[in-house]
Amino acid sequence: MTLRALAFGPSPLSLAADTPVREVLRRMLEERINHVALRGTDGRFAGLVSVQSLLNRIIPASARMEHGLADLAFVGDALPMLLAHFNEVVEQPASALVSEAGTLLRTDTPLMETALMLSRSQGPLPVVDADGFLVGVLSSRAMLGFLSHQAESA
Amino acid sequence: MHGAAAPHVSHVILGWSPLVVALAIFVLTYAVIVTERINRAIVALLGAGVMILTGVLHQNEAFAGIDFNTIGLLTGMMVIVAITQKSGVFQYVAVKSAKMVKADPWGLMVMLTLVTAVFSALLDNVTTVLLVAPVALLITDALRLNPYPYLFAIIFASNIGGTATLIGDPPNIMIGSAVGLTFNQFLFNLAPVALAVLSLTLIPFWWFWGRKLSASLELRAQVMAFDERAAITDMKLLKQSLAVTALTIAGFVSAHSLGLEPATVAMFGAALLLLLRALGQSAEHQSEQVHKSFAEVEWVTIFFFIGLFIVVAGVEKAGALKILADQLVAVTGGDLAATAYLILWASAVISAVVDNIPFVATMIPVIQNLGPVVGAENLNTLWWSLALGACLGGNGSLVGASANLVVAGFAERAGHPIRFLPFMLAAFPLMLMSIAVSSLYIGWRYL
Repeated sequence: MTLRALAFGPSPLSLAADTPVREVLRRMLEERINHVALRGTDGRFAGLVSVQSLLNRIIPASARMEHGLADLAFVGDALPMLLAHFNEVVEQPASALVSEAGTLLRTDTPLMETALMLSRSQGPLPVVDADGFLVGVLSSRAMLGFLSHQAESA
Repeated sequence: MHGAAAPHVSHVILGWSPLVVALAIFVLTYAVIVTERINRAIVALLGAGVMILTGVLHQNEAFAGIDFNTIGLLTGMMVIVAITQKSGVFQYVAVKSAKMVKADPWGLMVMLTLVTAVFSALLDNVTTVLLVAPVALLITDALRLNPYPYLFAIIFASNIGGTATLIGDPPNIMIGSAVGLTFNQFLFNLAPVALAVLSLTLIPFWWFWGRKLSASLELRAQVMAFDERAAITDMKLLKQSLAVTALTIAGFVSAHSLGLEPATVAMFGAALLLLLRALGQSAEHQSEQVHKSFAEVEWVTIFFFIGLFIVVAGVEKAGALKILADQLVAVTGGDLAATAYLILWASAVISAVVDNIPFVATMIPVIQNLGPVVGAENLNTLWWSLALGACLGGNGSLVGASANLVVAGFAERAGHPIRFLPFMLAAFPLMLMSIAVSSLYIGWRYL
């Protein structure tokens, strides 16, 4: 059984990959959504931008990187520093926020593998078809709902 | 460096010459290490295995060739540092030092250089830059400064500081252990020249960067608002770590008079700190903590050393290093001054482009063979030359020392890459300057 058996959530808002982050953030705040899908010039899925990934880029690089600073409690509020980073990040294209190693699911991904990937993910995962087009997103809640329904039916 | 080797005549496979086989394994091992295509620990262990499998060494001889004093010292200090860094003390010191100079850009460069050098004299260089570089990146980020000059300074300071003591850099640990040179001897003989080199290096730093660096008062106020006390995440651990570290340093200083070796001091210090941490914890939590502490030991480095020691033991037993020593005497005529300068400069240039650990491991038996030629009472001059050349030479290029590559990695991830050639064009002349200073020192003090 693959995740075709599950109910995907509706595709998130989709924007061109070169949309400025400022515009992506504006849409997120306006529509109260946490994820925006990016599409390439050919319409194929080009990555998922989340509020998490955006906030992550605003944090100083010295805390984000491997072997970096474990905490920034000693920095204090540092609002000017946060704003400086914020202003730099929002001028970038949205594609700059997408990790090349971003996790995604395919419509033929087996169920157990899907459950494992969702358990390791911090948010819903995009689902693409064989041609690389986005067909929806799958959340851990959806997976648990499916399993709950299956358990009741058994 | 070596324990008592069991007498064993080499019976090399197919009746081949032990010297030829040992040299072939040695050259191949080092060549592959230099290419960095395969993890160096793997290469060293394979080389060691082949030395035994081909019959150059018997297993007993191989194990006798491992300098467990070096292994113990490295492991013990790695455990102590791995635990200590969790207290946040290193971040505290870095931030405090930045605030002492009111976040002035040039003052910041001087303080980060000094802090890095001092830490590096007491800890291994890689750990030092792992702790200092992120804080440096944060502060330069807050001041809107290009971090490149600061990271460059950290690289230089780590190698110069590591030159000053027995425990500051693996070459010194290996030399001290092989020859029986004490912590105090390294301190009294190398710390003065390390301090001189560090001070003089700040001059070109100021000339090329320092006088042009500036940050607005507003940004400096932002750094002044950092609370270094909040960097201390575990006060109890801080006290325990500082106490054990102080005890360990005291142990190194008095080791010789107590008839102790550095490995005993380091391992006992590590065990003591582990005990202090474990007190009052459940068995399960203790197990988890110990496991985590041991997991942070750089086992790749440790096994690299083990393999390397065996490979060198093989070429030493085959007589290759005696031949090399004889060649060295032929070039210098056995003159102490010529030999010292040749070792100093050759070590520096070679260490700038290849890992200094294999080089020093090879040179130790070579220099030991020079005792009858230059006089045993003069051998220390050659040891100081080797230590200075091998440690300071690491500043010559990005690949000259592991710490350099670690900093380059940080720089890349922070979006300010340090490119090999631009770095070398600036660093190599500065390294040569430090060797020139070292030459003057060697000549003035020992020749």
